[in-house]
Amino acid sequence: MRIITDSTCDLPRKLVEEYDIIIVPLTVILGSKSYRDYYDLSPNEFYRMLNETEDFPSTSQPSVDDFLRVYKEIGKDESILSLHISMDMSATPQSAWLASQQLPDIQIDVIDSRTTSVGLGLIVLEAAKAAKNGADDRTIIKLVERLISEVKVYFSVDSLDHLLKGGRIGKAQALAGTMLKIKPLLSIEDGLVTPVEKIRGSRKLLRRMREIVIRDSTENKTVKGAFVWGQNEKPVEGLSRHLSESLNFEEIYRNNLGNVITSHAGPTAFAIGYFCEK
Amino acid sequence: MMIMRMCGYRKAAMSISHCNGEGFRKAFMAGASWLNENKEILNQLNVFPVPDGDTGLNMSLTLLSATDKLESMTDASLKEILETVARETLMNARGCSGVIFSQVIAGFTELSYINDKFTCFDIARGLKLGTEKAYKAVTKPTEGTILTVVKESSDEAIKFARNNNNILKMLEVVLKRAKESLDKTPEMLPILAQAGVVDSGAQGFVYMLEGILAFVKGDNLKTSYNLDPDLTHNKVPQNLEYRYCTEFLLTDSEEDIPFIRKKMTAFGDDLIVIGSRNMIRIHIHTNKPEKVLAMAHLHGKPIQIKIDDMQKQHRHIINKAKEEFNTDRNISIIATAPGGGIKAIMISLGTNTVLVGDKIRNPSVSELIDAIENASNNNIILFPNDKNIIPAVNQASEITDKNVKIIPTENISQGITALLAFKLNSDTDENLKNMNEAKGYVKHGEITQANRDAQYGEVVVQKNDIIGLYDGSVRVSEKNYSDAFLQLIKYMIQDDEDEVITIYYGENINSAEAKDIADAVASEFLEQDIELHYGGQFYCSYIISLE
Repeated sequence: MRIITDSTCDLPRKLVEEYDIIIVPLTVILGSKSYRDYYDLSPNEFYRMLNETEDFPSTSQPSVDDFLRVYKEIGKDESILSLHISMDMSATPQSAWLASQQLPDIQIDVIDSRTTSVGLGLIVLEAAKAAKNGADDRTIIKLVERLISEVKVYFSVDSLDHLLKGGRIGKAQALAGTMLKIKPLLSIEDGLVTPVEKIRGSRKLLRRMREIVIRDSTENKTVKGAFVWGQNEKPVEGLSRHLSESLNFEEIYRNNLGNVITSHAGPTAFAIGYFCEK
Repeated sequence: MMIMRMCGYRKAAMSISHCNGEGFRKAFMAGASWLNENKEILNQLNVFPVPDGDTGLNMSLTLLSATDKLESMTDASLKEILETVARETLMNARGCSGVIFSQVIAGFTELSYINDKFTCFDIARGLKLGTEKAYKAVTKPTEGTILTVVKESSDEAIKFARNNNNILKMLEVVLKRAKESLDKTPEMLPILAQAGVVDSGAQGFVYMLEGILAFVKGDNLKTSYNLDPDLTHNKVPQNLEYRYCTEFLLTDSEEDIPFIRKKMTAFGDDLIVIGSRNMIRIHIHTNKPEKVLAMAHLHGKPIQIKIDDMQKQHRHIINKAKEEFNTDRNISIIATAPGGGIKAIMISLGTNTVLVGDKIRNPSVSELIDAIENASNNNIILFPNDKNIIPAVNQASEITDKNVKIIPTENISQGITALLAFKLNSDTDENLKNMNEAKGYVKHGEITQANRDAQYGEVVVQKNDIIGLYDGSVRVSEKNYSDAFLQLIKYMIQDDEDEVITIYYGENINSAEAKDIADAVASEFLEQDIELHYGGQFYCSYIISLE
């Protein structure tokens, strides 16, 4: 089984290559120019451009044709699992699904992961590992189903502006317009950005994130986690160090946020994704 | 302002009664170009289904590759042109409106007998077939969108073409009908009415028609809209036919998608059924979520079930004229505040009603009772935010029949911190527990000018000294504000958990003065974040919260 995903998974290139994952890029539009996520523009270059402009970036899903080309290239010999960003955040799964409907001869499962970024990345990576180990299709799909309900994503941003302007603020809309400076602790719950807590101060924010991961961990089981961040890696470093000290924590990877997620969350975002090993 | 210029070869290409390949090619490109020029407006109109402001971009990208290809197809037959446009728009379709548009074009390719030219009736039939394809392609045909406008336009075209064969005239009546239909979209789709806009995809279709008609007539078009980009923010519908948004994933099902779709249709609207056999995602707006799930159980295993009460979710409109500020919940929060600035902050944090005392007195019991009785909910959470108001609050809660819970906040710092701990998705008991706990995590200080000589413990105060109070007791007395600030904050700070200092300046302080004080505090306390707000309180010069 071949695993296909979209560029919002924010997986490090090394792992993508190691596990033969195919990534279909979304497109970022800034000013009058558009760039394919990761292919045309590196994250660091994008953060620099964002800091120099007043414009807010927008994004665009891959076309049906983009998916058709990728699916056709793989062809009939292999089944395909196409795992994507939440349908409530992007029409990417719709493009993938429309493409899959045009190829009745190829076995394609299009699955909406109900999450994105580091959450999608962890699910894709586990699925690709299972596929590489020779697991059968049904086992991989069962694994993905389980991870969709178990993988948690918590994140924060310095400002809600990007989430608001890009229309992806979801239920965290309730936090917009707050006159005091708050550090919003956010999560992705069933496909939507959801507010968890309104926190005053960055040290308290990191402490709460740590507390939540520890609360979710079961005794003696390993918590597998990954981190993504935009311009500032510092909170991620602190969080990772503290988690390793206080529980059985395995950091699977850490990576810069890609340009599509940065467009909607802003360059100050950072996130942790994790799940408890069975 | 943008102007679209049309060239003069239209008459040869598109005579009154027929349209050949060249005519269709130019007309399509003119329509696409006019739509493209107006894509920013379409982006701003976009509130449905997701208000992400990309309809213009999506529609324009859907057409882009087709127009690129058409550029060079000067000698192509009508059939070749139609096939090219249909193929390119389908392959590059983006967004709901883009997909629908591509299906409308695809309708024309169904006219298999067409080879070299269109009559009025052919165009009408193509539009009609396209409409049918569009309705089938989307799993959630919603009226009040591009679908409605396309359908009504094709009906008008069929009606006209039965008795006439004048393409120019037909385009005029069809465009007129399309515009009327467009104007009705807010009536059909309440979310549009709330936002005060027409449907963006439908507007895109109208631009296409306008561009085509202008080409045929040889007119120049000018963009004339001037939309407020903030127009569409924060406005979502209230009266919903179906109350519950129900979503789940159906696994282990033996049935295919058309079968499941058929089974679900009766339960509500906005139905989306997509996926593959072992994972079907179902989204429906319904009044009977339990029946939907019971049906799902018969045909598989529903997982990741999500049911949202949209009536509660969607009361988002901030109406500043009303005394009560609506928020999404069944609890009203009432608080008192020592000044207008703090009142505004409390409202921005979700308080429904804030009572402000004046120079000489605090809110009375009867004012508190009025606020409780006028609240839109029976469940009330009350923040006194002042030790001296707690007795009045207790009394008011005993008199009313409503269910009032009091968080005994003794000062405004506690009130704001407790309010921040309120969570929309938690139940009342958990919220009460969290808020009561949170109010203990903040320290409250006040700075003001002494109006007489006095001694408080060790602290000797002379009239006009600047004194600092912490927890209600005078702790410092200095000759100027900045010294009083630095000494009091030093007294209050214990460890690095104290990381945010918020200063609220009072009615008698001007903002420049307050800014200087905040700068002085910031240069002294490098480990803390400093925030300065207008509080508007009468009873003291500054309030300091440390958390």
